[in-house]
Amino acid sequence: MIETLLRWTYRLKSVWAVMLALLLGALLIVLAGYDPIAAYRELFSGAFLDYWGVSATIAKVSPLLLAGLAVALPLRVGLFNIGAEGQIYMGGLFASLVALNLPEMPALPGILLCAGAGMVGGCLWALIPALLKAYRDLNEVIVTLLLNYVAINLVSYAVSGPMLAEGAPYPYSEEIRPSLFLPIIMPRTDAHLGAAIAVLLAMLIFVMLRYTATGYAMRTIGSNPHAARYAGMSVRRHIIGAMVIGGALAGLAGAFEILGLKHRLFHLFSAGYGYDGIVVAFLAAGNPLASVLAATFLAGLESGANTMQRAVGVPVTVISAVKGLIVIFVAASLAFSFQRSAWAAVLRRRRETEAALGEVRRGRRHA
Amino acid sequence: MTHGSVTSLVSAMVIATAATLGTAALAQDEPFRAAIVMPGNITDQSWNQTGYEGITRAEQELGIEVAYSEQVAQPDQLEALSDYARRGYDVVIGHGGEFVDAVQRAAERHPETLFVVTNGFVSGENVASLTFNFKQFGYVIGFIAANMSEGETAGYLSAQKIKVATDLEEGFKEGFASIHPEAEILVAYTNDWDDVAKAKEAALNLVNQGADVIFPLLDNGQIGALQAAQEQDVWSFGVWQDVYEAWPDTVLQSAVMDFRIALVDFLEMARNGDAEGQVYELAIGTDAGTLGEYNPAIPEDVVAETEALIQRLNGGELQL
Amino acid sequence: MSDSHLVLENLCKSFGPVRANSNVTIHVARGTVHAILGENGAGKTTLMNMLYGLLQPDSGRIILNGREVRIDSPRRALELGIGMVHQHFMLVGPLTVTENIILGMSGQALTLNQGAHRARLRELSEAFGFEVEPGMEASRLPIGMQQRVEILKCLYRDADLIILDEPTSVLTPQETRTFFDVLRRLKAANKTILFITHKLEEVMNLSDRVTVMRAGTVTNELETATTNPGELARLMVGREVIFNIGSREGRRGGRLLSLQDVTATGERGNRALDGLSLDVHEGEIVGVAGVDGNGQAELAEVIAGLRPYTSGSVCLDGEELAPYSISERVGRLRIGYVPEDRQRTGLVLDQGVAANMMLRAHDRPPFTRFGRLLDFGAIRRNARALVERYQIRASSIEQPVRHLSGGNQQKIILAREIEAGPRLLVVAQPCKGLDVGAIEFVQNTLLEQRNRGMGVLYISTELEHILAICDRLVVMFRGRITGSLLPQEASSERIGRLMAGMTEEAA
Repeated sequence: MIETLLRWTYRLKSVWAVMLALLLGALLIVLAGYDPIAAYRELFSGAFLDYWGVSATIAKVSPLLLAGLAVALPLRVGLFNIGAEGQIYMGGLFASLVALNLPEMPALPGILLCAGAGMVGGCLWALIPALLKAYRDLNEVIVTLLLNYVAINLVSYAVSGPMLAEGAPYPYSEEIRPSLFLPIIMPRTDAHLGAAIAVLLAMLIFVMLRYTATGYAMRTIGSNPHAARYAGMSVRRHIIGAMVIGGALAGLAGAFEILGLKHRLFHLFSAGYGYDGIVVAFLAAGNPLASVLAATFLAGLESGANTMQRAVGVPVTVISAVKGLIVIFVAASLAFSFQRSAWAAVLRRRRETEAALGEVRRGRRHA
Repeated sequence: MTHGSVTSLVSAMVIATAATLGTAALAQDEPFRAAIVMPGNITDQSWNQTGYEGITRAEQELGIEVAYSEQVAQPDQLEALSDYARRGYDVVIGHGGEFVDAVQRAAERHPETLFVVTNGFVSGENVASLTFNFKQFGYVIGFIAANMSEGETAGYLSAQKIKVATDLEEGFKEGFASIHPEAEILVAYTNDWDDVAKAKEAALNLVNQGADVIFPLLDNGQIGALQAAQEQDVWSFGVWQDVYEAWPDTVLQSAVMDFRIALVDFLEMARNGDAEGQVYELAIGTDAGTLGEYNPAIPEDVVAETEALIQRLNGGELQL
Repeated sequence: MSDSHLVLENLCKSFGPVRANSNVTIHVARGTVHAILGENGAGKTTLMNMLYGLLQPDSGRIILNGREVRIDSPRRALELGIGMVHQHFMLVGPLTVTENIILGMSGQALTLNQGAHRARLRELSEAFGFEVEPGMEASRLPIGMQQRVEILKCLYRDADLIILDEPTSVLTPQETRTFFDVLRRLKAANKTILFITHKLEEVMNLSDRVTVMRAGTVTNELETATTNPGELARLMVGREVIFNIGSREGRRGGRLLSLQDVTATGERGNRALDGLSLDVHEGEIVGVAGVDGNGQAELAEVIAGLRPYTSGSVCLDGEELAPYSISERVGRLRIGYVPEDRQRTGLVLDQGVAANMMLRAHDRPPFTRFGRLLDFGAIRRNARALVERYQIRASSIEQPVRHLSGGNQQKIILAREIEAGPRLLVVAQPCKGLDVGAIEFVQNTLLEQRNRGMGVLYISTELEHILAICDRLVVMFRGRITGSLLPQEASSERIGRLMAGMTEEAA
């Protein structure tokens, strides 16, 4: 009885972590001179409770989830893809280039072509570290990280030079034509179809990892590359594959930001989604389905925090601190395991004692 | 300074493009509310701080209710603007040209709110832009530069070819050519507004190619360009603020374009129900847009000619 | 006992319902080598952990030098003069030998006087003939040397009772010999050695007395001089182990595997195989003997496809193997391979029994259908059948193999490789670290397969194991075969000469 209760308490550990973080955050908000209750009311309604909040959250799920998957999949073969940010930029660049130069055609093939171009862009950008890792054993963390800056600067160059729109007051390209806009799934909002496609892809990747020989090979390579080679799996091919698929997903995130939200290629169009993707992947422990939850959680936190700033006027620095606290607390709580906890040890000892007492009782009966 | 400056603001409108059909209907009995959405930090001592100080001055001087959002990333622009509109703000300002798209789309969704974009060029039923006539400023700076130059080569330096940069460039070239029609104007774009070292290098490069006066338009990089000018002993100019005092042996004059004053003036007009969906382009020679202190090295007659030039531009006698 | 150094009296320790030790009583005389012999899981390690303060006994007494003591921590054990060398060494790689040894010692001044420590260590090392250089970095020492550093660590802390947990399991044969010398010197210095092992020959060679444990209890304690390996084995497993089981059924068939002048490069760029030639026929077990590190591992890897060969030819049924990938060798050519390092190579420790059972056939039927979709029904059926047939003890087929004993882990690999129906099976060190019962199982299984016509290449450094089952024996030295002979012709002198590289023409 006590044990079931404790187990449930443990299962809800993330909830407790969020509450604890909110409590600490409340202290910060009070110290900054604002009303924490009003602030939190806005945080939650701005994230999940009203139409506009939900739409803002959904709009963010698309890039966050795709970037999260872009990190999670390579993580399964033991690679850290820190380069989702750069892959997003390349995806955006490729998608915009195709969108701006495409001959007139119906919406569906047009959108598919642009999204495909975005995936190719992300792919190519991930292929570089993948090949360097597979054939030259260069650390993929450093390569992907550095390539981020290259990609951001490439986009920045493109939109302030060759792609700069006529008379633009800011470095951005011409607008893509409306037939290439991604459909909006909630009227009068920014919530575009990208989030739904991202969720579908997460499920697809889950199935791939869990139910196919390729997925099994990837998981095996991630946990023991020596055994994987012995099992006849091509470690190189799978490393490159996982990285490239990850790059394609991040590239798609970039394409969706252009096709669904910005409708132009902007200088600095991604708000660090590639790095948020790392948080998503780690919160979800690399699991694609859990990534959906983690991305939704993070998206809600972002959009709720924005509302909190607008409605209550809490300074953005305090809000960043609260966001940080929540992510850190949740991440820490996920590292706790019931089996290893002191509570479980107490319960184990109790069980042993009772078992021993039971033996004694049975022994007496026999005697 | 700003009292009664509405008239000067209105008189300063050179162009009022596109639809001026309907005035945004503004409620009179409720307190007037305005919000500004900024891309960066309000303590950046630059663009974002200007926006923040503008709106807080409006709050104090006009007694209106204001709100602001800082560090709004690009994907959040539209949602931030829309959210303020839903919360019933009468005027919502996107601070910077990158808000052009978001402001237009938010305006479609919220026809009852007047949206404004600073440094913008768009207008609509409930969309206004607040900007300066950069070409005029460039022209005047070019005029002074040409008077102080040998007349063979001058340099123009900026980061990205966005509208403000290209307008200033064009004006500078025309102004310089009005004195030395044969002169060569070297132009360099560095692609980085804030990199001091890069700016300095680019400025030195211009000087090495023979420019004896340079006009830089940068953010933090401005310092690097001015340093280069100082080291190489060539003339230069400030922009946005008057920097003559900080660089007395280098800076001839500054193109002072103060969005704080422009914002307060505009919000006063909006509160009075006079703001319309149009492009408010502020001419040179207004409270918000003017020149700074003249470097004593500039001969008296050149100062007089410059002042006369500003009058002609402001009055519309000289069209660029 | 007149000069008992240590007496354990009726020690009991339970983990939940499992009785790891029950009424264990042992007398250890001062200045002797005392062996604790038992199969894996007999309770030896639990006993030693109690002695070293890592576990507390539920009941019973520990009497040291005639006084009852309570040992509640390793620090206390050290204070009492008890030192322990674990199976896996606890050295900090980048630190020097001296730094490792004085690490965590009490009574240190704020500034370390390393010079003085180093001098005293060198003295101590020379006194015992350890040849340990105190200034060396620990990670750069060979395994045998690291072990001596661990012993030195005990000695430096004035331990006079040293516990050694499976000390030879990580050593090469040469290192083992050096290690035996070390023990004799320690004994000569009146130190008491308590060592845990499951190797009969070590007990016979080294110990003065031996305590045999089985299932948590002491089955006997006897003078080594009065016993023999057969008796010890019987006491240890509860029955006689029959070592010569090479009963021959079926006949040797045609030539299956043929290597001609094969060369291959080793991990360190060395020439690991150097013109090696070898044949294996159907229905034949060929044993490969030799001192560890003479190219045996590389030989197995070349045949399995994990390592390319640089010249010569490797043929199966006359067909060159080079163009075939690892996966094709498993699937199409049906070459099975039981790798030497089962935890690093042979298994994926974090995956379940079922997943490990299909590791080498994960991408083809019966484990996949519709292309690359895994058929979990088939995977589970296969695992259940194999678990039953090979009597693998696991709580379920989903249990991660990390939690299984070494013997059960090895059974999973054997089951997988044998049940895939290979024509040729390459087996490397299959009995390393296994207890007697498990060794017997492995050998019986291999013989059975041999009798059905499978060709087996059996690589081992344990000569007795090879002699017990092989039909033919080759000896490897520096990447080539120095001799090929039948088990009945294999006198230890002759094999010894071949292992040392002295070739002979006669087979």
